Amino acid sequence: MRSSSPTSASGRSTKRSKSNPKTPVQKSPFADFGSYLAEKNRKLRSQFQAETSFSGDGKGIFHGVSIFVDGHTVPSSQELKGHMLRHGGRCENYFSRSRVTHIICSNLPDSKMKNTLFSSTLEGPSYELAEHSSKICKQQKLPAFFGCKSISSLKDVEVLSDIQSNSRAADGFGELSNTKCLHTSDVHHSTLTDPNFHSRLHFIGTWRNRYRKRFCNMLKGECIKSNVDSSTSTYKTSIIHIDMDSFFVSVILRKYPELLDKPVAVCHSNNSKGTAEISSANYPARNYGVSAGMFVRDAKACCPNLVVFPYNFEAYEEVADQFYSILHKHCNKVQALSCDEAFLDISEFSDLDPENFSSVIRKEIEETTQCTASAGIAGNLLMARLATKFAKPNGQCYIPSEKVESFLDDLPIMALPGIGRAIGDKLESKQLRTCGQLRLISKKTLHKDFGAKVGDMLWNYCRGIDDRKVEVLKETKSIGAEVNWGVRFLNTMDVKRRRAGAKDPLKFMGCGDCENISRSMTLPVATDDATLIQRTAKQIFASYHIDVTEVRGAGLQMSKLEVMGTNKQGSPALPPVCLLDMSVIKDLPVDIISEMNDAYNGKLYDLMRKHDEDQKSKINLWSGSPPKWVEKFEVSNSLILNLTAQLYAKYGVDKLLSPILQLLISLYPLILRSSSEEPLEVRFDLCELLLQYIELKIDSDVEELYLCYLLLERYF
Amino acid sequence: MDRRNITPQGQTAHVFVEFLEVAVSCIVFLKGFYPAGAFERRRYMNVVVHKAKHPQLGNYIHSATFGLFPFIQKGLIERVAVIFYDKDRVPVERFVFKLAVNQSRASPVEEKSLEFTLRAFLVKLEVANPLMKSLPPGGSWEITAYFRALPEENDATDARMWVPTDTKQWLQPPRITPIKSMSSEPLKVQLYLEHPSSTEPKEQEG
Repeated sequence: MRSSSPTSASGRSTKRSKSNPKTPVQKSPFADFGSYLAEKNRKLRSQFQAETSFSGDGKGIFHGVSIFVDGHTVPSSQELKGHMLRHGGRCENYFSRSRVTHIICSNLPDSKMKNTLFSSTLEGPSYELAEHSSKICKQQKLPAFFGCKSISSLKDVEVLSDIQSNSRAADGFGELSNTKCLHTSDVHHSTLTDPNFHSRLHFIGTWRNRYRKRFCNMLKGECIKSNVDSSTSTYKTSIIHIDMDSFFVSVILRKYPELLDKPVAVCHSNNSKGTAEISSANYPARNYGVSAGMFVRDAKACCPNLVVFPYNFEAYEEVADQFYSILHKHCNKVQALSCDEAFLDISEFSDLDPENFSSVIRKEIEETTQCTASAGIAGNLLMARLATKFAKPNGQCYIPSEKVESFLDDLPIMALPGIGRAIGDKLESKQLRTCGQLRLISKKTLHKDFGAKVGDMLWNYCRGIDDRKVEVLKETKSIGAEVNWGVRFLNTMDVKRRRAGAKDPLKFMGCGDCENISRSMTLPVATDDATLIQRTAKQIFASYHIDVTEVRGAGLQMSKLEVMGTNKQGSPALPPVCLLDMSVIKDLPVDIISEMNDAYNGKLYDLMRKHDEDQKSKINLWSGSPPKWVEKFEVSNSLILNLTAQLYAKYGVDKLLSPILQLLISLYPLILRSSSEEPLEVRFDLCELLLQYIELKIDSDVEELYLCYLLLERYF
Repeated sequence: MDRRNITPQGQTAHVFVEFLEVAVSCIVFLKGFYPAGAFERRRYMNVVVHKAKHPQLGNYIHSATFGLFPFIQKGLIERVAVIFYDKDRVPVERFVFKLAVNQSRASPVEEKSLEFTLRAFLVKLEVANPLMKSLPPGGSWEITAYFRALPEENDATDARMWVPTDTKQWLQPPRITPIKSMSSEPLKVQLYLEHPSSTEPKEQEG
């Protein structure tokens, strides 16, 4: 049966309903379905217009807007139609790309997306349309898009992106059995186990999650400019790269305006002999030669009156939020790069002067946050970014397309983003230093020397070509965490290994001169189970065959993340009670135990109590002389236990089991054949005996244990 | 080491270290790592043992084992292993001497009896051949000691004999085959073989 969805691209419904009362089966005045539909639409439209005739002013807020309601919506399509009528809009019953400007639906499956080319989708929580209509603002974008449940419900994959849990995992890794060469197990780094410890990298890394949580719901089109004619026009792309100036320092200096023109830097420590790294320095400080990444002692050396402030993460969060709120207010195509840096795609505002737009935004940022920002404006991401570098501090720079080439002529290749030391050195060896020089090289040569991808990138970039689009909030594709400070023993995965012959690191607990090694492993199924991740990570780490003392840093990255779907299986099956390991359960936190207890209908607590009693009453079978088990077995009902005890009593010496076993075997061979039929308690007693024996002997006499093992294996 | 140490720990350590030198020589000989001509037969506690004739080999074994003396005396050594590697520096077989020296003992030690008990190791080693794995071509071997605590840097002269190692490890816990265990105050020594477990993954290239 052909689907009767009205969203097919041709705009014609293929509904062939026999029971449609409007189509008389026998005699139809319409030649074919097409003419019927045209007539129907005309009729509906005239009905619609009749209803709108009573609305007073010629232009309501929905003037020029024509909606199509696709699927079930709340409020109903009738209501929507009513609202549209009242405010000068139109409502189409059948979708037609030329007539419909907006589609309203309550969920957005791929089929609908594919069939209609959206120029932009706005998502937002559902709310009463009537209330919103009352906020009459002519330029407001149609706010009638309802929450798309399937897309915006991103559940953050909770992985080891938190340093705290990383340190817990690190402790767990201490169980690697074969690599415990050194028994120094003290964790030297105090900051890792401090839950309040913040590092700036941790802040930047987890910032993205916070941003997503906050701004996913904000993308509901509070954009001020209207956007009616969006689907067909081709426009020149215009990108703004906006970047706050010395972010960490500026935020802190909000409270110390008198220091604005003094050299200030942000760092963990103020120690003039310290090796903490400066994370941000303001422009007066930079004039002295202070730069980010420098040790604080070196910074103080070139700038003795440098004022050093510690980090203030709450303030950074506050300002970053303000920054992004402003950006989102002005434009809905924002690609966030960092807590203080973003790309804006303003191509759709073709009637605006980009320079003006940019200065408006920058002014607002400065007024709201008291921190300045710089902006670069150009036709693509690459040039915009390069322009910003030019514009700093507190300035903006516009590179129109005709000026691109001259701008790039003398620019060093290494200044291009994405070009690092490796490529730079290689080009340098060919006497290529500037983009102008690079332009002379053919694409084929670049492909040959650097491979297709890098070759293309080089060829494009030196000409200022960059096709990348501004990417709005995407789902995380990968997530990772890395520690390379204070790592001194067991850690995981991406491992920094001390280069052979390297000196001790300059920085206290720093990673020093290292080589980076990385390995990867693909899991068969997506998981968010911390135990599984931990186990896999342990395996990878063991495969490095590395001496743990050489490890200087470690990181874990998970990629190809998927959105966590709804859990269809419900809660996992409970293991049967008898298989629970009581000692493990007792170590769980109290609220989890009570949850489990509920799951087991209250039986868990009883079992735990019983286990405790058993533990207390457990006797050490091997203590005493003769050992206690002899007595116990002698009075037992089981023949095998009796015999064992008697033999020991007669011949046993000095808590050695193997001779007894040998005697048992030689004197009573038949007994052993039937040992598997013994009742459960007998077997349990024997096992207990052997277990305790192993514990007793493992430190001193492994040979004896081995003997017993061989005997048991052969004869039992 | 000619001077006699008065402390019981010193005596024990001395006995053990001597024994260790002999034992390591035996092991290396038994594995057939070097041609038989590199060894000469000697007698140690009424047991025929093989001592290295080649000066470099002998020196290595001697300096290695006697270099451990101060650490054993302090009870810092937990295990001493003779490890045989294949050509990729992955361990193939390990002879591990696990020892525990009782630090609290005060009375002097009967050296002779201690030596005598250690003799049993050597005897057992001779017949332990079937337990051993065959040596792969192009391999290497070394002596490794596992410390309970890192030695301080001020014992510079002796510590320099022993350097920290970055030996590769097996992924899975190894299969252990005990050879001999001895416990005689104040020394407890156990000798066992370690082989990679059957679930050990094969080495991949790169």
